[in-house]
Amino acid sequence: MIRLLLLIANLISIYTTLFYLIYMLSYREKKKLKSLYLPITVIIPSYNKEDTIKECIYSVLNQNYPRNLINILVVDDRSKDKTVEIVKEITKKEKNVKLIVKKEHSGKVKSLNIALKRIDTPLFMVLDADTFLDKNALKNAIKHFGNREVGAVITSMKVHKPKSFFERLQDIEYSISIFIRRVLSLNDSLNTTHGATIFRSNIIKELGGFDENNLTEDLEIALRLIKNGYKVISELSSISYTIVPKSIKGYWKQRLRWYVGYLRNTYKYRSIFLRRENLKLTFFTVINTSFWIFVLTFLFLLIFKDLYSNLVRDYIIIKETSFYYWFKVNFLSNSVYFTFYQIFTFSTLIIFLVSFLYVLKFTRDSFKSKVLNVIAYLLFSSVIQGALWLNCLVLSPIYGRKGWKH
Amino acid sequence: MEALKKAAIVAFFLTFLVFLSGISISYLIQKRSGEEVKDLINDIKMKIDDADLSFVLVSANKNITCAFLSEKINDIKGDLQKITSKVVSMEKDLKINEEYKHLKRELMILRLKLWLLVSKMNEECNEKIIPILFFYNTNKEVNCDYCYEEGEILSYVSEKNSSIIVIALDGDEDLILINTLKKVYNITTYPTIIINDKKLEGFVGKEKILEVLNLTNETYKK
Repeated sequence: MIRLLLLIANLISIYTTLFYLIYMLSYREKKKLKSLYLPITVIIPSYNKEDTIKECIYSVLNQNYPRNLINILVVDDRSKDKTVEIVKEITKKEKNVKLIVKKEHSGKVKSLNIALKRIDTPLFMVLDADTFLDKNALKNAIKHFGNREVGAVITSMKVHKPKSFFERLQDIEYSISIFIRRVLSLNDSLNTTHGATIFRSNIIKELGGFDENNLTEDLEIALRLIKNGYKVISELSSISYTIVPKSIKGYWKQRLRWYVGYLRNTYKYRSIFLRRENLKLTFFTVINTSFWIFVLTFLFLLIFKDLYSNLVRDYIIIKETSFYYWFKVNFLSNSVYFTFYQIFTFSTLIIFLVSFLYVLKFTRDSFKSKVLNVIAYLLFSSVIQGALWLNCLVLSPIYGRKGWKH
Repeated sequence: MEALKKAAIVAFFLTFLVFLSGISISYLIQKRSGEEVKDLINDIKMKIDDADLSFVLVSANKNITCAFLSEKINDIKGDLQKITSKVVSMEKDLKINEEYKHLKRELMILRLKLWLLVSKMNEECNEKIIPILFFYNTNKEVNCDYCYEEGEILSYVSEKNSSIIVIALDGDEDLILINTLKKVYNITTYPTIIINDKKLEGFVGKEKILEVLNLTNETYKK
């Protein structure tokens, strides 16, 4: 029974992967969008970001976009390091960079709402202080605002100089996300924004700004936009680079917040998923995601159970016989026999490998240098994600009820 | 919607193709593996018949025949080990069919034949081979914790000592001889091993097995 379930899960994963790939391969842009130049305020909420704030600000100032149309508003959440001094230094040289220092440390979302009250440009961008923009990021994203229905445009977020094992895994994960978000966006089903997103100011102001009592305000605002009939778009050629957690601890903490936030917001906005016109959105973001959550947690529990019983078994055999004997029986035995299930798992892995490499090509990453990362991602990601979802499902009812501060 | 529909249909056919090739490949592998096991079974059958026939000659030339028999039995022991690991890995497959059940039954009969052969040789020849009867159970409803581990330990002991032969019997197999042996030895729990009519129930470590066999641990440390 378990194997049959796994086989079905395998087939659905193959189907979804192929579906996304074929869709992107066959999709042709209907008409080329014309460049659009609108004034924009880039809001940079900061808290203890002395290492990255300068590079972040200059990545905005050095845009391939008319400089007189760009304003930067740094909102500092009472940093304890030299962030404020660094920004003050920049404001002396750059007239279009402004700084607000909050009276008390109250979190990122409050910073965003404070900034929102002060801006008078038709567009604004939320840019995390540890995220940097590619030269053409603004130019390529802003052209979508020619369409009145567009409420937000997200950039293609990549990992900034991945070095550690976890950064490399996230690097692949982010690339896959870019790809999936593009497919969702083409089908009016993109349900999230992130730390490098451009918004239409009047719409966000009309909607009452960002939700200060939400774990993932970026996801919440996207769902609110959809609820009110606006679109969230993802632009492949608008690229940003972000710094990701280096260790598993930081990664775990961040993901747990995202996943619990996803569950809560999906529940909060359940009414939009029941609307007939949002059928695609419901399929992509609720049905498909629920399937993956189920498969990943189930797979994790199964692997964990197998691993545990195999460890006990192997320990007894090695203890009672010898390591060599155990090794011989398990790995040198001449009776290699591939089961039906093993063949399917193998083919799923191959299809995933090829697809992921193709995704990298799509997101303009050099895929030759990332083959090993993709393999590592394939081997470890499903287990890590399974454990994370399990942790999230268990913790979800009690997790950080009072919002969060960064 | 057009591109979406097209992608959905093409992806469906491709997935179906992957499914179909998976089934075909595993069918071919299964078939080949089944044939291999069948060939091995036939081979062992012939060897057992051959050994059985040679008893006729025991009275004529005991030494030569007994040496020949001992060699043959060790040969069969090795072959049976080979089949066992093949059948065990087949068991892990999604599709357990009638053919597999038939092969398993034949394997069980071969083990019993080997046991009879060994008992007969022990009666006729001076050189003694100790048969260890190892009862396990593949029925999922019957508790057989540590049966796999016990099997591996016994294989190890037998591999290190040519005068020991393990006759592994599945208590779930409905064969007259197995049922009789179960009654004779009153087998109620699994694993149970019988060494020289001594019954050891539950998981038994290597030390204990060697102690019952009157063997020292020295040979096994190598």
